[in-house]
Amino acid sequence: MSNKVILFGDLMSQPTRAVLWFMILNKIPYEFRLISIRNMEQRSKEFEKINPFKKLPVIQYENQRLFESHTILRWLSQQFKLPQYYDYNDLNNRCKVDMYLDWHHLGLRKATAGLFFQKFILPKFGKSESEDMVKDAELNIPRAFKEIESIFLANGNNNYLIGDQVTIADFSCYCEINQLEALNFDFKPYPILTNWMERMKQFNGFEESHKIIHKIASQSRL
Amino acid sequence: MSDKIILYGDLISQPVRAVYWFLVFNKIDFELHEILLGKKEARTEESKKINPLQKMPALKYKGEIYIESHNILRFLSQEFNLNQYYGETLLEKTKVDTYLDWMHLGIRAYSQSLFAQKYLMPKFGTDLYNDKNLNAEEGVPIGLKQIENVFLKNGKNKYIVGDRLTIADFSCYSELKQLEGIKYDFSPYKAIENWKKQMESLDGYKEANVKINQLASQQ
Repeated sequence: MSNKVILFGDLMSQPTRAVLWFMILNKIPYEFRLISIRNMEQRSKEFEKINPFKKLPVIQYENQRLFESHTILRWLSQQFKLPQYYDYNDLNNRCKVDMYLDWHHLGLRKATAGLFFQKFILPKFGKSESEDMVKDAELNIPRAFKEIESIFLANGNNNYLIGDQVTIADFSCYCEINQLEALNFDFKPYPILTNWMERMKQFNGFEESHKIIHKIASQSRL
Repeated sequence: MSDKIILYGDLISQPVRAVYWFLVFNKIDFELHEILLGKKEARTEESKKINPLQKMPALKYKGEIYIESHNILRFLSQEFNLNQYYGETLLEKTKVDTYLDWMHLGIRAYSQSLFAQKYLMPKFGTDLYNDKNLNAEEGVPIGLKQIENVFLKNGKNKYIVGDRLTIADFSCYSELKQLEGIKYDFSPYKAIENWKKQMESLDGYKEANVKINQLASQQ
């Protein structure tokens, strides 16, 4: 049985990018299996056997199969002895990371992924966007960004989301926000956020995990 | 500094009910400070000092404030040596985390929205909660089917992650419970109905669900 982590995903998917980046940064041996969103492979009967939720990413390691990117990131931190990123035994620190991870889904992702889906994914399938959903996302993204700036980044006093140490929260958050570059989103009103994003780009694995989203972003600027 | 837990929230809120129930169930000493949802008290300057994210619940213990109900439930399990409700091993924790992470966009986004559309918005106005854009009617049955088929394995699992009761069950039950407040029909979901009955036999159920049961009986 292979000791390599098998990652099923698509680099168009934010949570897939977060997991891939984290594995590259930490030199965790892995093998990438593309499940193409464009071809809707995550909805196939075959993939449903791998993940009954029909979502990306999934990782397989030895006889274990894990779903949900935050669960995967927590598990990788413990399994590969990387407690600096998330430590089940350090209750105080862990709660700070978990606070972000639990907030992320409805606090940020619902709006950012929602906008990306409406503006980028739907047109690829020849469907038109929902005006209401776009409006809702455009209303909620600035609110989310302000909360990240003022609460998590403590108005610039924190280098990373929970303080001065990068954690799995930062990888998840960065990948979520970064997809908006493909929509030419204007980040200028958020200088604290953009400074943090610049810091994140310095970490190994950034280029490799973001090559597809960057390609899209550069095409949309033309 | 008091060692008593202070829980800030309103029992009409699903995550508040989950935490409240878990505290009662485990006989953890606490005090409820009501932050009334209908009066938008979570948005006052005073409440913002407790939780700048202006959400509930928040929990204060030994001078620290904890935010986000799943985070609070994990914390309580570890702090009060109740690891059986989260997990003793990495694999056990991972199973619980899978549900907790799935829940937000798998069911809560829809059930919360439906509850808001049918109850909160008509009663308290759209400035309290304005989420008319999410296709909640369509999303709730998809989420319920996944709970039924994947988590409860069509009744093969006694609880959300298998044969042991965990914080995932308290969170999930409290989420689905709000749908009773708007007379949602659970009859197509037999495994969920059986699991709900099991959950209702646990200590703390009545106290935690007093407000939502009252609401359901008024409908």
